[in-house]
Amino acid sequence: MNPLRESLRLPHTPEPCTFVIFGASGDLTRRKLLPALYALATEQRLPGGFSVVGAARSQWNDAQFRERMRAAVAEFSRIPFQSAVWEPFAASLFYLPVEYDHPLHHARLKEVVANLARQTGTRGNSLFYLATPPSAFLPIIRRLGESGLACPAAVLPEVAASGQGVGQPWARIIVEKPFGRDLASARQLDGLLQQVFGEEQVYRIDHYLGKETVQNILVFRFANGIFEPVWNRRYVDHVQITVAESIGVEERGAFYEESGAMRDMVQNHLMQLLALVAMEPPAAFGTREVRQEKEKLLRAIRPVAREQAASLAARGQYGPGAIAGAAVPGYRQEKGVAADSRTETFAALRLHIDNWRWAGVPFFLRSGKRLPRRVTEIAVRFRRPPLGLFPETPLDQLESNLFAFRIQPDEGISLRFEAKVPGRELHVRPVNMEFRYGTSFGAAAPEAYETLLLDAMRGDATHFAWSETVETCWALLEPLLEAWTAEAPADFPNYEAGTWGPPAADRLFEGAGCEAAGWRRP
Amino acid sequence: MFFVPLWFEYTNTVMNEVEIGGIERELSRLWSELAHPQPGDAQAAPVLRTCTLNLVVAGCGGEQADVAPLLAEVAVRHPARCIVVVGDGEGERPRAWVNITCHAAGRGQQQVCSERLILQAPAGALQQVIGSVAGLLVADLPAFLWWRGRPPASDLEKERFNRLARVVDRVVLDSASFSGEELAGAAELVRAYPRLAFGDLNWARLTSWRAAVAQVFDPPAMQAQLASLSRARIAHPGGEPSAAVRLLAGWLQSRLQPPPEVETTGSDAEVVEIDLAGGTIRVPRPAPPTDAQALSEELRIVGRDAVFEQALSAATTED
Repeated sequence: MNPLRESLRLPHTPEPCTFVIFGASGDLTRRKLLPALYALATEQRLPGGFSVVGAARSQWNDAQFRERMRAAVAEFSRIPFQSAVWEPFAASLFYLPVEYDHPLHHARLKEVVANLARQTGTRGNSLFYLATPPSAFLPIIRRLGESGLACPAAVLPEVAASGQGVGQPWARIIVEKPFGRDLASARQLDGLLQQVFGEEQVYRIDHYLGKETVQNILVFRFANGIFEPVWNRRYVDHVQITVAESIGVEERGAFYEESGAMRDMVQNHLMQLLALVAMEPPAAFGTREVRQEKEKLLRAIRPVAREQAASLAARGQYGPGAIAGAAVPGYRQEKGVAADSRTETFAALRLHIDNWRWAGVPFFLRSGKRLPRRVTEIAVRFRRPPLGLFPETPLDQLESNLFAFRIQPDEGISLRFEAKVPGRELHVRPVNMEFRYGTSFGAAAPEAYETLLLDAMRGDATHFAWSETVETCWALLEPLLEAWTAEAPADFPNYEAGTWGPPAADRLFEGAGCEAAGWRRP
Repeated sequence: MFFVPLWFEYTNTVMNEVEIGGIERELSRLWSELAHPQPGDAQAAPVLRTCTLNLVVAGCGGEQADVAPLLAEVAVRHPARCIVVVGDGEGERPRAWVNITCHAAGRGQQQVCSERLILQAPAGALQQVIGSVAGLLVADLPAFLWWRGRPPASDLEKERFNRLARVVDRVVLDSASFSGEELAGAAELVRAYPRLAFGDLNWARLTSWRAAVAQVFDPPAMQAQLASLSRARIAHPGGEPSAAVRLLAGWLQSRLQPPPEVETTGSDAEVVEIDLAGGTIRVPRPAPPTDAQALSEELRIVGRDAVFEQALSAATTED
């Protein structure tokens, strides 16, 4: 530990390291990764001796890479571009053209990383980022193993031999989703990752987990004393998790045809949100403890059989409609999409968690494209009071208390409760009490990628997905995916763009055993 | 001597004069007005009432600075109830003004509003006015005192400071123009109020410089050299080292064991120079933040800043 870092204001920065991006000429690097690293540089959160090696197929050199990244940062960074920050940062950017499956190119990459390590004192600490299409994951991981890059002792043997400094040098790998497209392919990816890296070296990034409000769910639940006592089957009627997008598939039609809403959103983002809102308090706020509690929760979800696909799940595909007053095409008219496509652009399901806290409380999850607005939220709806005390407002007209975590946009938390309308009569009306991140704290929240890249450099995997969790989620959803594959949807497209999904989604509430009869309008 | 902020020029149009006892009532009325704008008022936008802290502004000495724009800027990051205490008012009775200032949280967003209070007292009634601050703080939220100018020196100043210190959680000073003696006075104040947390805008202005120095020693090989560091130099313009330079020297001495000898030398620029095995490392001072940014940083920290307190102590300890 650097004693000069000890302070409330100079937070713990990572050890010096080299950040290797595979897919450095791609969109993710341009839009997210470099702007995130630049923001970290602006806030002095990067360690001394930090450098970036971009690796991709494009035949660029260092100068071209820097020039393109400069433009990317100027366009996409949340922090205004400053030459005084950029110039020293850019000097630490390097580029190497590579074929991802070429052993000689990986040997060359190893030389570059080793030379940088000697120049900058990283001792061989390396962080690899797979920002490539999924098809390149397996060859890259294999080559990282063969070249020795996965093992820092092989990169800088002299450091390993001398045992200089604190702790051992490390190599870590960040993998972008999708983590497979079903249980078998997820296991194949995990199998190879674990041949080459240990599980503690693997960081499966789900950018939702880096969002401030998502991280705030645990703070809200476990740093306050008044909510946890009512966070259970005795008081909660049901929980709704919504991840709605107003956009269509944009340029990703061909990719989306292979995935669909269940694979693209539910398997990862929604299941992670479910785990955070429903898990038990961890024994400590550490990577292992939080992961264990999430895993325990996900394992308590009642398995869904293929035969239940019609009663516990709903799928939809958007037809032509209108968003924000503008006409938009249906999914089957999008570029790269088959005219008779069976891919779902909307998925909803009802899950039950068979543990002491949640027995009997249904959890409703939905995600879709071309819904009326972009919103991600978790709504916890409480039971009504046991008696109606106010004659002018019968019990069934009282709105239940509702707690909503708004994750995007306008990150915040709101609580709905009943209040008396001013006047001589005793009329009751629901009112909202709102807390908004942007306005209460003023300071702009960091982008999820900034938080997560810094976490990975520091070796904190709390907000990354775990192999067991990924597999548990696949195992849970696989019967539904199989049922949907086996049976062609009779009614696609079954919802109009700009509406809240197909009527089938409303039927999930039938027989659910909760007071509420439908989806809330977020 | 209390300073008079030129607040009125800034908020002249909406400052309402009230009796001190009627401040809360007037604020309620203003909130109600904001929540129910007149029909046809095209400017009206939804209003969000947010308050994260209390900020009391008072002090002694100092220039006749206009703090209103600065507080307005700070309120964007820290929506607060700001209470500015002004001495040397004319007339015989205390006077008070209140307003609510709003800013839009973003394009097309709700407006976020903060409350501003000015309490003005003729010299003879200042103690009573200061006494009324306790009753005007928003309950259950942290209370900060931004004490402008030098540390309290006379008995009367100390009494005024003491009255405010009793009702706040954290005191923020600005030692930028402090002499060596005044910096020692600040250290004495920290020792005299063990219950209170202290901050310093001058210290907040040093954060980026400290981060730049710390960054040099992040690589483990460099940390090994830090352990045997015995000397450092801080070059600075002018003859006497400023309070900032003294604090930075105090920081190096309080963080490193054994404490290195830190020499301060006159120069054109502000630079930390450290001789290491491979040569001399030079870390020039980055551009400091604005006053509003420095105050925002101080308001972010609610608890004690032990590193600052130790640096201040080391900076004011005689060899």
